[in-house]
Parts: sequence; structure tokens; C-alpha cells
Amino acid sequence: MSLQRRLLWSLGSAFLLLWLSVAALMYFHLDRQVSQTLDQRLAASATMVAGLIAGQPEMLMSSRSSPLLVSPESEGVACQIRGASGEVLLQTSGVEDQVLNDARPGFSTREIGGQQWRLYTLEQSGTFITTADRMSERAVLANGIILVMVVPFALALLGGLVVLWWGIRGGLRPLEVLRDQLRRRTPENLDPVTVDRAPSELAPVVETLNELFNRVATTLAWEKRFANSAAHEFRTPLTGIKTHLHVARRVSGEPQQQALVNAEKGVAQLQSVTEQLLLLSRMERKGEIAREGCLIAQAVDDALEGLPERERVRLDNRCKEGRVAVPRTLVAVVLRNLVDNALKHSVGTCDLVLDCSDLQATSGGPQLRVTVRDRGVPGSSDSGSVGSQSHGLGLPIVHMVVNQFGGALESEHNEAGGMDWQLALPLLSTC
Amino acid sequence: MHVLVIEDDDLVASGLEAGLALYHCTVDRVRTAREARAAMDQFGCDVVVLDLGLPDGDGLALLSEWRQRDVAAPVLILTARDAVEDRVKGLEAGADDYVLKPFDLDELTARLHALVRRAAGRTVSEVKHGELIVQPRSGKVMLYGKPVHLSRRELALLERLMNARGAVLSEERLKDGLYGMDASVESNAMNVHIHHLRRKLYRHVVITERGLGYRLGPPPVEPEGDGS
Repeated sequence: MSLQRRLLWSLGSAFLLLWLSVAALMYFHLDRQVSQTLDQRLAASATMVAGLIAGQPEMLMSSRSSPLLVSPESEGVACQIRGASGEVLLQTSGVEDQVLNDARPGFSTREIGGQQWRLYTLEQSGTFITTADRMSERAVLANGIILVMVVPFALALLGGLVVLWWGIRGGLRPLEVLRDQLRRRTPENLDPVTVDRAPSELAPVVETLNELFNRVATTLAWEKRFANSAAHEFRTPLTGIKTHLHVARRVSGEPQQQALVNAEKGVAQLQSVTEQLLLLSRMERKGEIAREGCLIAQAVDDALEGLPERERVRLDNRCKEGRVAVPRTLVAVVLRNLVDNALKHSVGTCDLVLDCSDLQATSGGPQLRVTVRDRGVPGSSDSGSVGSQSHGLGLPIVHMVVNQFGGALESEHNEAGGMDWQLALPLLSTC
Repeated sequence: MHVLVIEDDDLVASGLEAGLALYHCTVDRVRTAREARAAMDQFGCDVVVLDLGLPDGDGLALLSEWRQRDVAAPVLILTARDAVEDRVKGLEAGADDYVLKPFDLDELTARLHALVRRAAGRTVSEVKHGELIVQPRSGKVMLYGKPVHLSRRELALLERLMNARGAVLSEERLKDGLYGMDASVESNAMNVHIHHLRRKLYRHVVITERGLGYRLGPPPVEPEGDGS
């Protein structure tokens, strides 16, 4: 059931119940008031007759020949005056003899001739004055009251429900707009939704939704970039291998040997890429990487061992005894990737500075700072090593390690025209 | 065919150099956009093989820059970016072809020759000049139906002259096309190649326009009594 129908149903039901309860209370109260009023009319009529008789006692004497006191139409208040011995002295037409004979003083209800009557008997100086009216007349009056009450109530109720429906529909209009926008959009569409004149209650929902869309778009973009990087990293050595093997088939002697050596280099590159991807996969399945610390100097040695163009790296380790709370293998991979990135996208030397004297006070505790500084390529439009747009897997892996072990990675352009990569790794407390 | 290869990965670049050499191509390789600009300013090439992810900039930006400067050399993009939008961007930036890594060397050279052929306004791969026929891709040269062996430089020189369709080419331009960035070229190397062409083919295959350069001579005339 839609929210609109649910609201209409619940509010309408409550509305209807309240109105009916009020109407019922009013009806019963009014009915009782009318009955009392009619009873008072009977009593007043009897009192009036008694007053008349007291003022003109000859009325009773003359009535022997003409006992009809009043001649009401078929409906109205009937009256009968009896003597002490029960003989009828005077009565209205239509009142059967002896019918009201045994009425005792006060109010009573009796069935007379198939009809319910309401009686009032007043005793005065040995005479009994009884006034009566038909209950059917009272029922007609009560029905009239109900009709008078029900029609405006029913109209007001219907009008109220229409107003309620209109109000709910108008109030839920922003939700309808939001629903239509979400229903119409394709799964690929991650543009923010816009709801004009959104109420304050809905604004956080729209805001959260748009933030979610933004996060999904960012994640998808990152994954796409990562997939492109992985494709590039795989295809490049594969291309080298394929090309050199093709050459090796077509030549002989020294050129053939050289082509095979190059193909082997490609295989080694491919192996390295595969290892990095496997490492990435293990990191994504948290728990498979032991959370042990290592001596930073050992990790640096691992990172620089066998590095092509090692002579371009100037190492400045001011933190030889520093131990970081990251496994040695991962620290080596992180440093190697950063240095690789710097060497690939710059000329000249590249500085690798390790420093734990200037401890960064963070919520996670003291950290060791590693700076990888390159000098860029003079005259090029881009300066220094590349950022997140890199085609390699190196930087995504660095980011993943840093995030998983509570470190940080920042980059900024330096005065030499290259880039500074600032890596912070958490130090072990025993350092 | 003189190919300028712009590729930052040494392994791929060395494979391309060795592989294209098998197909009688003269290859010059640069690794950055900056070096590529300098190379293009320094000498002309028949075709460019361009990698997109260069260390100092994007290959597409370089290509757009060249096209804005009216550099007309055919460009083949060789990249690992396989998304359709990347291909569209590449072709819209002015590329003449788009090949994904890893590629087949036979296919790549066929595509490069097709680009050069189209740039020269030819519809068939063979270049005919009367009874002189050159098949650039295989490097075969036929004169009067008989094969003639030419060295890589001689073949490149002949191909350039035939593609010029009788237009005069300066010695510098011919040298650039033949040697590219190879600075260690003897001053009389061009004369030696022309001499060899005249000797191996026929005397007037290359006409010297004094002070201007060289052009392709008239088609060969079958020696008297040889065709009877």
C-alpha cells in the first residue's frame, strides 16, 4: 500500500471515528433533552388544565353534556380529567374511556391501542388530570433531529476527507517527484537527484542519496581506472614478450639470443605484476596479511635490491633503528612502487628520505615519515611522478596498504619541478 | 619506410625496433613527448607509432598539437587502452589507426604500410613505375619481372622517390627519411646509395636536379633485343 493511501486510510479512519463519536454523543444528549422537554410539556399542560379547573370549577359540571375539553387533531397532546371515583369528567377526543383510567400520578409509558404513549398524571383536589402524547410523534421528532444532524455532519466529513486527501497528496508531492526521478533513471545514471522545494524532512534524504551516488560514481571510476591500469600492466610486458618471440622466430644467432633475453625480461615483468595483483587480492581479504612490524632499514634494502637505475636513487635514512607496524614485505612493495613511479616519470636523481625524528602526532600514534622526491622532466607539461591517474598498479597498491595499516600518503609539487610523495607509516611502540 | 616510434616502455620499444627492422623499416624511437616533438621538428618520417601513456604527458595531447600544427604524417596509436571512448578520442584527435596491445607484428606492419600507402594516394600495396615494381612490405623489388636485391636504405630511398611521384626531394629530406636520428652518417652516404640504385636498377632511375635535390626518373625502357 502506498504511503499516500496508508496516510489517507489511517487519518480518514481516525477522522471518521472522532466525528461519529461526537455525533453520537450529541445525538444522545439532544434526544434526552427533547424527551425531557416533551415531558415538561406534558406536565405543564396538566398543570395548566388543573389551573383552569381550579379557576372555573363549573367547567367540570358543564362537561357532563359535552365532556370534550379540546379537540386536537389526530396527533398532539391528549388530556383526560377523572373524578375521584374514576369517572371521566372531561377528555379530549380520541381518548378512549377508561383507557387512561388507571394512570398513577407522575410520568409513565404505556401501550394503548397498539401505540406507545407517554403519560403524565396530576392529582388535584380529588380529580386526576392526565396528559399524554404518542411516542411515535416523539420518534418522528427524534428522526428529524438525526436528519438535521447527519446531513451537515456527513457533508463536513466528506469535505474533510477530500481536504485531507488533497493535503496529503500535496504534502507527499516531493516524495512523488523523488520516486519518479529514481524510477525513470537508468542504472548507469549516477547524477545527483534534484527535488524542487523539498521540505526540511526530505532534504537530508536527498542529500544522503546524492552523497551515495557520488561515492558509487567515485568507486566505479576508481575501479575502472584500476582495471585500465591492470590491463596496461599486463598488456605491456605481454606485448614485449610476443614481439620479441616473433623476432626470435625470424632471426638467428646473436639477434635471436637478444630477442629471447628480452622476452624473458617481459616474463619477469609479467610475474611481478601478477605478484602485485595477488598481494592486492590478499590485502582485500583482510586477515591473510600478518600484522607484524619490521625494521625500516631492512625494508628499504629489500625495496632497492635489484632496482633498475638504482644509481639514480639517493638514500637518506635518518631512522635506521625505526620499526614500523607494517609487514616488511608490504613496506618494501610500497617503497619500491613509490621509487619506481618517481624514476619512471622524472629525470636525474630521486631522493628517498626516511625520518622519524619529526614524529607526527596523530590519533594513531607516532609515525615514520618517508619522502620520495623527484625532479620531474624539464620542459614537460606534467611535472614529476604521476598521481592517481597513473597507469600502473603501484600507486593503488600503496594507497591500499596505507589505508589498511593506518598510514597516510600525500603528494605535492616541489621547487625542483617534480613531486614530493610524503608517506607516513605508524611506528611500533617499542621503537 | 621510416617509422617514428614513441614508446616509453623499453621492452616494447626494443621489440618494435627489432620487429619493424625485419620488415625493412627504418625505426627511430623516442620515449617522451618532449623527445617526440624534437624528433618531428628535426626530421620527417613516413609514419608515427604513438603510445598514449607517456611519462611527461598524454599522447593524445601531443597528437592534437601536431594536427593543429598541420603535421600530416600518418599516426597509428598503439596502446593498452581498449575502451571504445578511448578509441574514439584517439581517432578524433587525429589518429589514422588504433591498435591495441598486445598486437601481431605482421598486422601492425601491414597497417603501417597501408597508412603510408594511403598517405601517398595509392590504393594498392605495390608501387609500380613501368616495369619497376616495389612491394614495400616484403621489400621485394622486380625489374622486368626479375627480382633485384636492394639493401634496407636503398629500398627506403627508392620507395620515397616513387611515393613522391616525380617531385624533387631535397637531399636533407631524403637523409632525414633514411637515417632519422642517426647522426653518424657519412657525408657521401646518399651518393653511394643513389649510385647503387642506378647500378642495380637502371641508370636514369634517379635524376639529380642540381642545387635542388633528386627525383624519380622515367620508367625503365626494356633493353633492345632483350624482349624478343
